[in-house]
Amino acid sequence: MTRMAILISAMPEQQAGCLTALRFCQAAIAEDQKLSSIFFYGSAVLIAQPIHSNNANEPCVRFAWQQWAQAQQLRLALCSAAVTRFGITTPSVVFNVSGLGQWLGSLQSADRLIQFR
Amino acid sequence: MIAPYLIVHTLAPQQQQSLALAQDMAMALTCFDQPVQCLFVGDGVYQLLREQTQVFAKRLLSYSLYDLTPIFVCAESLRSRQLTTAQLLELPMQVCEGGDLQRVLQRANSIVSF
Repeated sequence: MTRMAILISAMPEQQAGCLTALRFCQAAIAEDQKLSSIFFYGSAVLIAQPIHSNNANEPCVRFAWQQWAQAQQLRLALCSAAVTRFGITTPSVVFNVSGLGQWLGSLQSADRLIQFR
Repeated sequence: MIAPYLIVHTLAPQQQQSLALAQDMAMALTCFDQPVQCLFVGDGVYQLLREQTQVFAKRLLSYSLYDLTPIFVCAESLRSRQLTTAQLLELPMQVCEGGDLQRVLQRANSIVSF
């Protein structure tokens, strides 16, 4: 079993990276791989913005991530500097605001780092 | 020697956020005693121009203090943008042709690009 650390630096809904990362993580879990951490860096922290979608049929990558993380009981790490920069005040319970340093420390236990941008 | 993390700078300095993210990550990794190398490729070579935004240029110039030098610069990216090393910041750098570039990439433990 490979332990993978996931780094996402793509802006949700504007770059394909966020959705690709979700699909990748879903496939990895389905294949019994271990995700040691999922870290949203830079503008990717916008994933934690509240969802105010008027159109229920519109696919929303933020909603998909949150729903999946909840179902898997996973915590998604948000870069604290970016959270402050974008003024995200009350991220939902699936998110965990952590520093870049903290995440880099957790990299030691991962076999592989995979980035989506 | 432990395989280094490779931070690849690919975007023009107008994308200031990506430049800051790359610099933060490179510096944070060195604080964890991880070997880090930086590669400037494509429009990323514009980040090294002398007339760069002051704050980012200063941080780049401090790379020597963080053991982040020599930085690697893609020769082909410089040529195709008609740039010479004389126009770049005074940093210990290694200008790499195709084969050398491939070796830098192969040596890396993990590659993160911005």
